[in-house]
Amino acid sequence: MAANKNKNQSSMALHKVIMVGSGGVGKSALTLQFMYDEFVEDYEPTKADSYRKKVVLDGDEFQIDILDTAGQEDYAAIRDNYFRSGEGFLLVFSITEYESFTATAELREQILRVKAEEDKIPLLVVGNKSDLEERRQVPVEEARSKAEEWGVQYVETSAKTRANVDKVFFDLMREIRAKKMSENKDKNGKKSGKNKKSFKERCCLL
Amino acid sequence: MSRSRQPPLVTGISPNEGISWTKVTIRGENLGTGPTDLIGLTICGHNCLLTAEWMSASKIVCRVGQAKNDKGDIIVTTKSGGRGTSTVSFKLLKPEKIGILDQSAVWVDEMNYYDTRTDRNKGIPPLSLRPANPLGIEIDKERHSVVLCGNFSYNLLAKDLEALFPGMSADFTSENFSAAWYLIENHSTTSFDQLKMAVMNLKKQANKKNEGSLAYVKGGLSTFFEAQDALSAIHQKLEADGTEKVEGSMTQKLENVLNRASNTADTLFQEVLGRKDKADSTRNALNVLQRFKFLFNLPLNIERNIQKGDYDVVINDYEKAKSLFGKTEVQVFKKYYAEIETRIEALRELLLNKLLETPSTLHDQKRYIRYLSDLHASGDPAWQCIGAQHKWILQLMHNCKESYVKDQKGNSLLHSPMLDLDSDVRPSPLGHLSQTASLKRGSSFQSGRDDTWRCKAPQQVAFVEKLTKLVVIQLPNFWKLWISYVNGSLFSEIDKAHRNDFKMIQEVMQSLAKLIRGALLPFSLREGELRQYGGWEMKSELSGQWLTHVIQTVRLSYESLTAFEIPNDMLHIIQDLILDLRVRCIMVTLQHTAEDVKRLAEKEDWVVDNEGLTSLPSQFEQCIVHSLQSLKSVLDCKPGEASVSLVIYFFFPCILSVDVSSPDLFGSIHEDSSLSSEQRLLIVLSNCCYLERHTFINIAEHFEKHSFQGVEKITQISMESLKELDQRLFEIYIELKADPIVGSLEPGIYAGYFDWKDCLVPTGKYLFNNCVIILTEILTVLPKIVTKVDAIGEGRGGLQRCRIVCLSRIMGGTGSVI
Repeated sequence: MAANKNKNQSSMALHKVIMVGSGGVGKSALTLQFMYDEFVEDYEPTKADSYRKKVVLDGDEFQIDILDTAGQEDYAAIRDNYFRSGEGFLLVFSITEYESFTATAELREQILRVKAEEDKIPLLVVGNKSDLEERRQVPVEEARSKAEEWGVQYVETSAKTRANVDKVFFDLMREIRAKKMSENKDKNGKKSGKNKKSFKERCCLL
Repeated sequence: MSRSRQPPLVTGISPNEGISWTKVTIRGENLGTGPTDLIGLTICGHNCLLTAEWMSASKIVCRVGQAKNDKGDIIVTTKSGGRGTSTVSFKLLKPEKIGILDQSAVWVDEMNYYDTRTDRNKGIPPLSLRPANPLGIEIDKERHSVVLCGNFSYNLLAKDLEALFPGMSADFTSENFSAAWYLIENHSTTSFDQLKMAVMNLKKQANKKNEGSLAYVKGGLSTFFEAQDALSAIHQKLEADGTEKVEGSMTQKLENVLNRASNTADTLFQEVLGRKDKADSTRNALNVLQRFKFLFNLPLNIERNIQKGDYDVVINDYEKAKSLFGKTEVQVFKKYYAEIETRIEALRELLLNKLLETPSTLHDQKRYIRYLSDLHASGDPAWQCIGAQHKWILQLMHNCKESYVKDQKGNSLLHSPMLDLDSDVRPSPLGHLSQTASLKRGSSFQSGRDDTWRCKAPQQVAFVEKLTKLVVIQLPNFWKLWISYVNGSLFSEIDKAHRNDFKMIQEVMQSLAKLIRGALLPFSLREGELRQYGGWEMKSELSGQWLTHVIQTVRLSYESLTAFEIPNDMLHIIQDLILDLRVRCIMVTLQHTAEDVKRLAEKEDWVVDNEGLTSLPSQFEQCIVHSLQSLKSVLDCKPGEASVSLVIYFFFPCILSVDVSSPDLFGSIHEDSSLSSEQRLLIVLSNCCYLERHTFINIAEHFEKHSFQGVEKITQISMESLKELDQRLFEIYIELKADPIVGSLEPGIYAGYFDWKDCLVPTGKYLFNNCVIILTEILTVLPKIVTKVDAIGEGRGGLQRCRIVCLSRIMGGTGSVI
């Protein structure tokens, strides 16, 4: 039975998500909250953690594979390899630390550079630690305008309160799924243009 | 409950890769209901159950073991859920470090290895797994932030605590663990309720541990059985081996073995380390030797090169060593450098000796002087060399003289000393020097005649030849050396006092001149000098011929010396010598000629030829011509020599006086002859006439041929003296002849009672007859007496006139008698 299930799991569609952001912004906290509904208080710098679980997205079963990367600049050199395997990115910063917000631009550049051959990369800008409103340094408007500039969605989350945690992962998975479907269509036929548009509309609606 | 039935599922791993003994956090679902529920955990096929710590149903912390596979699943097995699955995998990285027991070709610093294992910051030791928070309650946030922010304030706190609990520690793994300190440090603000909870937690954990180990034993029951079996097997084996007979307990024996092993290891490593140290020091020494090989080898190299004669190399090396190590502070280098200095000092002495050693060539001398100046020898080697050379030349000259003098005093017939002297002269410097053509001529001239010459040549002549040859060969060298010294091309500083100091060359010249003078012109030297330079036995004067030869020799040497551009004021000495020699030669020759001429008289045989002459005039002519010929070369004026014509003027009257005196001799020896004195006088008269008319003209021609000046004057003087002689002779003759006539006349006069007053016509028949007899006598002896008489100026013409002349003379003579 286990083998059977295993088989099912492996045959299930897999979306690879990569957590990107400066050190200490809460990437691991978001991941663990999403994965196991728990909030880790003590801080231990991540090197590279892997998580994978089955999720139900809009009635369909998916597997989400989360690669929680190291935010520290010490590991900057190996980021390229991670980024290459990623299908969607959560670009996380802490609203209580302005430097982490400015760092997102650079990280996005790196992602775009690594995935230069792909026209649209599923990406969400995530402002974490929204529970610490009193220590906010990054204004919502600024972050939002920056996200609009990049043509991506901006969501504020709190790993502590679990606010918007599921939303960012699910929204990203949807984008990934939409992108994959459009690519499949591209491969299968030539009517991608219209479908793509409709998918996009739906993305926008959600 | 149904949930617990679900098999465990690992969905997360942190980190997803790492080396062995990496602490990993496994997250997932249904990871067991409690620590006891967890009965299996493998990562990449390695059982990690021993290190696993069950935190919750979704979290297990463990350490990755020495897995075989690089990448693999994490399989959790629980009692409640059975064997689980994994959605994530772990990648085992190869350890970068060389293990403690791995073989390695390089020296591994083990400190790093131990550091990683004992570093507290990176995690607690693998087997002492303790939760960071043993009380299970929240640690003071304040303290956390302090730790995060920095160590400064934390250190302050720690100091205070240390003062409060001396010798204790807040580390709960320490033996001196102080619970109070720990609580103050970590839970100073925690409420009492919280602390109560902590106590509960601790109790729970203690229970858990017990249960855990029990579960572990249960889980690995078979392993324990196996272990027990193995132990009993070992025990049996030990008993079988009779180990109990061995004295001491087994542990002691083991300890001994271990100690021995340790000792062996120590000795092994000591050996290895000792070898390494030795190798290091050897390498260092070799490096030093290699780097300063040049210096260390230098003394030997210097020795070798000195033996080979490569002084250039030695000097180069020395210069290099001097610049490199001249001011060194290193003891070894100092020592070696001192060694080198002593060797160079020895070399300097050697070179100086070689330089001062004679005979040597100019080339060698220059070379040695250059070496010495390159070696910064003290003093002025060039000047020393010049001095030595000078002394040597003088010595050589004196030796030459001494050997010849000895030779002369000893058996002068033996010529072996000359050969000795030959060997004394330096081998053949001629090859090195560009000898002038004249010098070559001179040498060939000398050598060409050597064999025949030497046998006959007097010692003085041979000596002069040898001496001049010596000087001509040696002096140019000396002069060149001098010139290059003055030019400054001898690399040594020129002493200004030496620059214009020609004393040495002058001295050489002087001694040359004096030696020759001592040999040939002893009277021209002062007494003291004579003792020094002379010493010749003056048995016999040298003949003019030999003197001419000597003059030629000296002239040749003079020529070759002028070719070396030796200043004139030095050559004046030689010139004076030559002049003196020439004068001397002329004098000797003339004296000889005079003596010869004198001796001619003795040879008179009074044989009259058909012209009424004896052989005497022609012999005289021959004599004069011969002496002229021998004088010719002497009288020749070489350029730069003072003319000696004045000498001729001075000396010719001498010859002529001899000429004049010679007929006197004719007269003085007439007694021995068979002929009458009258006849002899007539012959002499005839000879004189011939002399005047032929011989003098011939001689004058000869003089002209030999290009003497003032021939007319000489001729004139000689003519005058001849005339005077002729006159005297004639008068003597007339007197001689007149006396008998007057005697024969007188009786006649007195017989006839001749009175000058009444004497009418001379009845001179008898007288006439007598006169005729005399005339015939004259004519028989001298058919040409008439012409001779004519030449005297008594009138020309026939017999009559002669008669008249005779008569008138006779009459005059008679008259005077009367």
